[in-house]
Amino acid sequence: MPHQAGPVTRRAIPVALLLLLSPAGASGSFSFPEPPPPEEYGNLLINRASAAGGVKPVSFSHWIHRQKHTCRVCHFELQFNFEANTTEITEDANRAGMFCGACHDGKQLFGHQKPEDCDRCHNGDLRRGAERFAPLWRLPEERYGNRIDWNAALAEGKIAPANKLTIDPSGEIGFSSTILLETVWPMVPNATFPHGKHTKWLDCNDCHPNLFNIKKKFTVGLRMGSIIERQYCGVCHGTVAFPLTDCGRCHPDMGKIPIYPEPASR
Amino acid sequence: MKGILARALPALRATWLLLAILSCGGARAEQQGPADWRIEFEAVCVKTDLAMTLSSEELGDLVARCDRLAERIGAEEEIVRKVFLKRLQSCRALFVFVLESRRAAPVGGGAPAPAQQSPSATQQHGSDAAGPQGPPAPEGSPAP
Repeated sequence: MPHQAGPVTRRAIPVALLLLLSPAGASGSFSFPEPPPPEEYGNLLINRASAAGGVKPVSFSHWIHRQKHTCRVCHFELQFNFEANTTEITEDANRAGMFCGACHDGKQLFGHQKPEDCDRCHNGDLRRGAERFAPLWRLPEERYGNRIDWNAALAEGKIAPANKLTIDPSGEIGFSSTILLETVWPMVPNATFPHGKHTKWLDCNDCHPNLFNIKKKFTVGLRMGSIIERQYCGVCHGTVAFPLTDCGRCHPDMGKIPIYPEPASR
Repeated sequence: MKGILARALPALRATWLLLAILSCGGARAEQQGPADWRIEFEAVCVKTDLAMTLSSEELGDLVARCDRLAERIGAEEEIVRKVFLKRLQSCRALFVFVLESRRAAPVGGGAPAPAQQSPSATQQHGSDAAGPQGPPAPEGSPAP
């Protein structure tokens, strides 16, 4: 005998469907990582070989460095991979002026010369430098991540990060189109991708062809689940750039939908 | 003895002068070697941010320059070789990528085209972004 849905079930089905198909339901299907406090967002520990070598992992703060240099400088010129602990950073390489040593050479900034400076990087402390965060509240406010709108800060001239060390960009990147990414799920608003906002910080080579390869007319696997797993946009968004909980930044029509509690004003 | 020395002195001086010039030249050549490839390296890699605006011929030329540079950097010491070869490969990959993208879809909005040729492309629809026929994400992909 076929099962007959009772009145409660009959009412629940459309509600469940609506929830599933709505943006809230769609994003509820994903589990977003719990965000760290603003002064820890973008901080990471580099421990490819430190602990094995008998020293503490290196703490690195993106928000300290991005005030002075764009992402391009480290992730293009100095060849730091986007994924932590995959770049073959060694003390020898640093001393030879590569990687951190391009700036941390003992002349421009503290380097490897004084033993008392070791702890400034090799401290294993994710909160290292948190006391230097408070002055950043002067920068334009953002809802998530560091709670700083870095793009606005750049546009308003409140920060002036250098865009090169040695390789001087030829000029303004001549590609600033905004791409509309049509979503597959019904009722999930389309996403947009503004090249222009990204090229202020990055080199084309940072994303193409490794992260996004449109050679085959689309980027295979570009979906929310992959992004949450730190692929594609998730390489930066969720770790350094505004996090994925800020749905409306990419899906503009989701901007007003309270999927996540609005954080208190800072 | 003094006479012999007096006669030999000009020749010794000349030899010393010649050796000094040669050694200076050698040192300069040694200093210029790395600087040469570094200058060429930066001249090539600086073009990545303009790759979209370059012609196919220019991109092809850059790829060839990358290949020539790779040989020169390959002769450097290990740390330099590792770091700069990786960076060079990355630059080369972008030039090849733009070239191939153009060849794959020469017509329509899907392929990266020189910016000057498509100034109106400030708002591309997903179908445009993915090519005339294709969706932006593979079929069956549930999001974004």
